[in-house]
Amino acid sequence: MITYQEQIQKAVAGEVIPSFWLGYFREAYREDLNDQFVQLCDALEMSKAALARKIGRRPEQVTRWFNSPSNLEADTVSDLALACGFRPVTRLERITFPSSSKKAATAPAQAAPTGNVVAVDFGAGSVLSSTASSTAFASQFEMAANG
Amino acid sequence: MSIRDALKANLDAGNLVEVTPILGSGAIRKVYAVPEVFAQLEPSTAENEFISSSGQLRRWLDSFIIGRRLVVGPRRSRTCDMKRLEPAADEVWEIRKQEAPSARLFGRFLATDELILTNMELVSTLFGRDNAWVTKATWLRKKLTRWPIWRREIRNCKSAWRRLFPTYPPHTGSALSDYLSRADPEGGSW
Repeated sequence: MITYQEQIQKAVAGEVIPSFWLGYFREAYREDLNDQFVQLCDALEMSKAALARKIGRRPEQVTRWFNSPSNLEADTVSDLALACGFRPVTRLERITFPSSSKKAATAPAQAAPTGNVVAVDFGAGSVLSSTASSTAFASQFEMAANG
Repeated sequence: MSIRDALKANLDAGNLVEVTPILGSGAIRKVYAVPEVFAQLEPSTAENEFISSSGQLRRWLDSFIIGRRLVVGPRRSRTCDMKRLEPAADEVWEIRKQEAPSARLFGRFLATDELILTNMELVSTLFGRDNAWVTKATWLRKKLTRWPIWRREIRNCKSAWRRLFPTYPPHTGSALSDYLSRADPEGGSW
């Protein structure tokens, strides 16, 4: 039985990546961004209304972005980060699987591989870890002043 | 026989399949799907018309299982990813992926943090040619409180539930926390 890991490897190596995997990893990246912004605003105790005012957006728009992972434009990511005193830094990582996952992952059945834990760097020495999202690549926000 | 026994019997008989995360570890919540829905959430079996939505929905479900924080909308929310449909007494929940091709998953809770997915449909189908009679004018004229097509999906969900758990009602609750941990209501109230 082919594992999820093998399916992903096959998809990436192929000429055209199947839409399923494009959708899967897009959603994973959106979740990662969403999680980071939510955590950042919580840590800074910044309200969505205040954030909206800072970047000249309607509060309901910012609320929508925070409620659900969405396809944020790069400019919007930059604006939101800057409003918090941060800047986004994107790092690309190769997709890796823990060695144990090869045995555990079977599709379409039960056990699945585990992914990487994404470290979310909030700059200025503070590091939070996000276990909610395990993506192939991660974005980091750094203090603008440090940039 | 308890509802747990019924769940186990359904899993053993292949009437339900447990959805496990493709990427990510740990499981705070559980999701089970009927085989027809599960097939659309699998990379190897999803049909072309579903396949892009399927990838996104599968990732959403993976994160749901891992325990990602959720925002659950009120019944009229058009922006949330998950909400309970009206009438609330039917206990049918909708998972919504809004990006085209937009799709909807329907299901009921077995217990807190345990969801049974019973049916799935593309929004384009829900509003497709067969359902063209449901214009906004019709909707307003008949003073319907919800789209009839969603009522059909609610009926399908209830019907599937009865096949799976003939003598057991779905999980009910009065607060969001009765259904889901790590969930906040959209707009602060639910």
